[in-house]
Amino acid sequence: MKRRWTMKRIEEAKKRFLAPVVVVLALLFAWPVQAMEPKSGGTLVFGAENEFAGFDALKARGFAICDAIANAVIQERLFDMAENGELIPLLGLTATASEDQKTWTITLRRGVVFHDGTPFNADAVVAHWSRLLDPKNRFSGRDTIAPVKVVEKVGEFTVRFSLAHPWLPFLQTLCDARTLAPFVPSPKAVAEDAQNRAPVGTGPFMFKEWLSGDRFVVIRNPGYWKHEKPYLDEIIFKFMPDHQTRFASLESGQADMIWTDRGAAIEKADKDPNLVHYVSEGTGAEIFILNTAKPPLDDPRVRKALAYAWNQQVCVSLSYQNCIPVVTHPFGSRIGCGNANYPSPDLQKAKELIAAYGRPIEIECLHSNTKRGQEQGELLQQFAKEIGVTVRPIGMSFGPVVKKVITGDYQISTWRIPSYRDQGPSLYSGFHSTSRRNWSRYQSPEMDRLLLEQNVATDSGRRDELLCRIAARINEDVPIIYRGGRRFHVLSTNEVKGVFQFRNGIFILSDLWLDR
Amino acid sequence: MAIGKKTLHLALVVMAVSAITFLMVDLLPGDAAYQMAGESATLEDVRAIREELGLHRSIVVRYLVWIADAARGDFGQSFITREPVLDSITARLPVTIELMVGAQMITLALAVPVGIFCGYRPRSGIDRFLSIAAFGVMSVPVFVMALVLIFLFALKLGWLPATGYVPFLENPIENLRSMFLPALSIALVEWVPLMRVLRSDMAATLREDFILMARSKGLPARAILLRHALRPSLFTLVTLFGIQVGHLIGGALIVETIFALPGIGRLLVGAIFARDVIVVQGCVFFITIAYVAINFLVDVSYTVLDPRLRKEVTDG
Repeated sequence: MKRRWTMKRIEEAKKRFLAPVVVVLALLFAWPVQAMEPKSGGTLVFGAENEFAGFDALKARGFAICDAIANAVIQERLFDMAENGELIPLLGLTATASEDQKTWTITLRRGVVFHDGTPFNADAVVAHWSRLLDPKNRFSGRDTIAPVKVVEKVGEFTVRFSLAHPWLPFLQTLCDARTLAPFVPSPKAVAEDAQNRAPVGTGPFMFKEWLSGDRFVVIRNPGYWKHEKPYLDEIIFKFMPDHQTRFASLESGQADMIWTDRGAAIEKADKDPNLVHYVSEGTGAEIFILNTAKPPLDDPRVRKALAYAWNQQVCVSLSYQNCIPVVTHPFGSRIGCGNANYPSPDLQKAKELIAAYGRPIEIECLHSNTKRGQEQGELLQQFAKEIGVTVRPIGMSFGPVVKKVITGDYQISTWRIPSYRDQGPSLYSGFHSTSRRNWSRYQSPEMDRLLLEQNVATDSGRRDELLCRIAARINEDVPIIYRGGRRFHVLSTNEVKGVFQFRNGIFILSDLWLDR
Repeated sequence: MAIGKKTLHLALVVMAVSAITFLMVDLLPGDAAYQMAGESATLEDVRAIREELGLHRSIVVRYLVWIADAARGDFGQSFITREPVLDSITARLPVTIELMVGAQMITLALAVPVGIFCGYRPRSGIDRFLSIAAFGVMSVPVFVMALVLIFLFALKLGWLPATGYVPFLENPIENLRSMFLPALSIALVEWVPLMRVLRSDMAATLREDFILMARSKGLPARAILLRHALRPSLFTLVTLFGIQVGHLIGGALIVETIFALPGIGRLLVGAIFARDVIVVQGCVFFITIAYVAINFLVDVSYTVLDPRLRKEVTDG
């Protein structure tokens, strides 16, 4: 009885109070959604580390992270790719592979117009890719798209990519915002040779002005195909080379967002309730590159000894204040290769190898003429000293370092593996014995075989396994030594709201708005 | 005649300086082709870039081509950014000139009154205090001074912006606000040598007989200092001032970098590091002309200060 009465009371209570509870809960959940409604208008100021190099794939020399961030609001790719590998349609709608995976048919979005009024269609895509693939144009990134033979128009809004062989990185390459190749420019602007300094794309923002050494300004594209976006009226990229004053600009409110790689600024931002810190894990790595064709580094014992003597954790702590990770391979978090045979610091093993080599060792280490470059040269010097190897750090500016490495006139140099989404093409370019970009002059038949096999692999699991074996081989033979991985940081004020997409170092500003 | 001689003199100086600069940049290790090619280039790419830029030609041919183009007003395009050199320089020149003018105005505003007072009261307590303070300030490196000013005025007080440049025509008030801290950073270091030379010259001038004459006539101290003693004491200050102005025309690199000012200094040093010899030549060309022009103005100012020199200067 008592139970039946209790159940009846519960049922009555439910009927009486359910509706009001539902209404209250709805209001509670709806209230933050209303408060988060994007606000249109306003100017976002982004503090960039460097002056931009340009926006024409054939003419821009050096495409840094901040260049890529700016480029991504003006020009667009066919697709983007989510972290889970899902393709996100942008200018492309669908991508279908043939059975042999040597042909990809891509349908394009209709009704899109470049900022200069030129219609976006198959002709624009074909013109762009034909220009990249023409050997006379000497596109500097052609190794990253080497298997692409030709791009043809199939219909007004359909193109076909023909590959030399099945190529798993194809879609990743089309989505990579770290290079200019995937971005489709206006054929008219390219023909008029204006694209490099006055870029024209289909993106949410249009180029307005570029004052060298001062700022790069873009304004809202009123004809953008995502009709409700963008929210901002304008984005000003201010060039602020000094990292301390860049952070001071953020603190004082002159800048709304900044790119930084300085641990001190990041630490301060983490403690400041008015600032927000965004992090993106990347691929690639900061490395020392070793000339395996030049004595004494032609002896694998010497290279391995240096690898055992080197302590990457110390470098990351001292020189980068832990704002980049310690890595054992260049794949970031995309592929789990574990330790990949990484030679952890072991002075005893290092000394044994040097003793086995049996001769005095003196090596020159080139580094950039910056405080950080100098620190790392000196760190290598100190670690090498502990095993009886003399390393002489030599500071140089960028151009001379590039010359010495490319011409083989070096022993060790600071270098890097770029942060491309898929590292396969870049590793092939860097370590295959016949590659013209094999700056370490590394020769290994096994490595050549692994690189070729991963290049044509059709199964992603098998390919990941091959890439891990390549990473292990690199750690075994030591043509490079890792200084640290890639992790990217953007700081902003808490007035910046919106959908934050920050992948492999590229912060997408298009969907942001200002809560002022 | 005098103007003709001076113009010829200017042309010879420009040619000599530009030739020496061309040679010196060419002798530096590395070249623009490698800078442009970047890490992902091949040797073939570098060779192609060198041919495109004309770097495969001899230095003499390259220099003569540059001089011939410059005579027609074509200073070429930057190897790295492809921007016309003249556009790069004219965009940056107003920033540098404004920084120079602002810095020197503050410099004179500090140096002249303090120099006059210290010269009038040498070895007094205030003179010693001001001298010690001046040397203390001068010992602070300009980049430290800049960061301290940013910390104080931009971050703590929020009175002035930390970085950036607003063109005067866009917003005069914001322009002055954005230029005040950079100009002050430079002035706080530059005023001390001017103050010291003026102090020294004033002290010497005040020992002259004509000053004694003026005192014996009962002229007030203010009139003696400003009307009689100051003018003949300005020669060294004007000379030093001219050198400082010429130096600032070349751009105050550290201040421009810290305050993110798009001036000639950053352009020039960036071009040197990139081995962008065309931009270097363009900058050096304008800086040389500026130096010669300033030198000429300093000469003219001597004649204003001392009429006895007018005939000598016009005769060259």
